[in-house]
Parts: sequence; C-alpha cells; structure tokens
Amino acid sequence: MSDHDDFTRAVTRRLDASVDGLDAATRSRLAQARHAALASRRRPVRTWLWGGLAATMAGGFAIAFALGLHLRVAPPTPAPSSELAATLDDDFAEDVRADLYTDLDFYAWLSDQDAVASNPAGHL
Amino acid sequence: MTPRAPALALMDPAPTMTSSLESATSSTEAALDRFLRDVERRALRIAELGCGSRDVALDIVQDAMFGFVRSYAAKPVGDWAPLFHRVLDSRITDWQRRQRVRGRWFTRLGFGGADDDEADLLAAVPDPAEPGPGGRASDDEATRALDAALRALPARQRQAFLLRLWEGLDVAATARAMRCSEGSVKTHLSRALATLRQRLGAFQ
Repeated sequence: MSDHDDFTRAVTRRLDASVDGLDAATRSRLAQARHAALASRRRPVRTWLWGGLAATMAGGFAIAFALGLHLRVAPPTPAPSSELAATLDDDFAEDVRADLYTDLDFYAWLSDQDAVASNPAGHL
Repeated sequence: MTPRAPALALMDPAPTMTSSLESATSSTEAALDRFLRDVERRALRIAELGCGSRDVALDIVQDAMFGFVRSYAAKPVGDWAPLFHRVLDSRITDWQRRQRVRGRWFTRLGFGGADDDEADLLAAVPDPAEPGPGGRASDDEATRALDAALRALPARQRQAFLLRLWEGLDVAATARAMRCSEGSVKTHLSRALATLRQRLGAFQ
C-alpha cells in the first residue's frame, strides 16, 4: 500500500490549508514565541542558578554521607533470642510476686473481709 | 609601507576568532530561525489536535521551542525535526496528564462530573475549527470532520499519521520522535489510516 494515495493526499492537503489559513494574531504569537526562544539561547545562564544547584548537590551529598556513616557506625540491633525473651518474662513475673509480698497485710485483710461478708452470723 | 598591520594581526588572533565564533553563532541562529519558522504552524496544529484549544496549543508550542532550543540546538541540523517533535510530544503528553490529574481532583472534590475522562475534557474546550461568519461552509465542514476524526484517534496513531504523512518524516525519524521502534510506527500508521478511511470515507 502506498503511503501517499489519493486519500492521504486529500487529508494532508486539507491540513495544509488549515495551516495556511491561520489568522494574523496566531501567526504573530507564533513569531513572538520563536523570537523569545531564540533570544533565550543568547542569554547566559545566571550564576546564582549554578550556585543554588551546587549548594543543593552539596547538601544532598552531606546527607548521604551522614546516613552512610551512621549505618556503618551503628550496627543493626539483633533481635532478642528466645532464651533472653524467656528471662525477660521471668523478670516480669518476679516483679509481680514482689508486689504481692510487699502488700501481704493488705491481701490478708481483704481475705478477712470476704469471709465476714460471706458469713456475717459467725462473725457476731 | 605597512608592515605593522599584518604583524599585529599574527600576534593577536583573538579578534579573528571572536568574529568567526560570532558568525558561526549567528548562522546557527539563522538556521534555527528558519527551522522553527518552517515547523511552527504545523506544530501548532499538532498541539491543537492533541489538546483541543488554540491558546493552550500556542503555549505548548512556545514551551517546546524553548525546550528544543535549550537542549538540542547544538545537534546536527538533520536531527532537528525528530528532536523538536519529541519535545513537542512530551509537552502535549504533560498537558494531557495534568488535565487528567486535575479532572480526578475536581471529581473527588465534587466540582466535576462522574465521567471526567480525556474525551470529555476535549469536548468541553472550544473548537478552533468552528466556522466563523462568512466562512466557507463546505471547507470548514470538511476540516471539522477531519479534525474530529484525527482527535478520535489514539494519541500514538495520530502522532504516527501526522509525523509520517503530513510532516514528511521518514520511518526512522518518526520512530525517533515517537521513541519507539520502526515496526511500531508502521503498525500505528496502518491502524490510523484504516480508522480514518472508515470514518471519513471518500474524503476530498
């Protein structure tokens, strides 16, 4: 199949006509855009732009370096072994028992109160 | 007797180098001006078909010109056309993406309809091919039909059609502009032609 048969020729002719018929205002805006683009090529790149870029890159490197250093100096904390976890559980249980011993009088009084409440006649 | 002038010229070649540099710069600028002048109107139509608005298309073309001059002016002149169209396509795609994101946010915030997709956005903007008073009705009708058919094509098919058949780029340059393989260009073009023939029939 030829790329340029009658159909495609008619379509491209129509497209050409639509471009040729552009109004003056549009043509003027296109010319202004072209001149502005060409003028931008003549303008030197501002030094402050380069300074900002350099500062940003330096900051980025500093952060990356600090992160790398931190990762090297502080090795990852190992997870507690099952033995250690069992010991920790025991320590917790010990704490609970120690609380019980400290308040032994309180628990004895509480037990008496329960007995009195369940058998008030015996108490009298 | 003027032996001094040639001797000075040999000792201080800077002015000659500067002037040759200036002339090279000005000749590049003249070539760029010619290239952009040649391509700008078709670029406008391509952008217009991609975004549906002449004002937006003008902004896109201006942005593409800036991007092209900034990044590719130093490339060989033969490479300019595919590179310019690559920049243009990138700007059109960016605009379409922004519109989709904006439409999504508007829908979420309750400002838009439930079916705010690309087709509806394009349908909402004014048609630049709308016939003015006293315009040639049949020509305008044909142009509008062509515009509608081209806009209805998937973006890649439209791009392949316009670059290959209207812009006149060869398959390799079209593939370079579209950042795809030459086989893909042929596939897109073939599908675009089939759809356009079906939609437009005996177009004159």
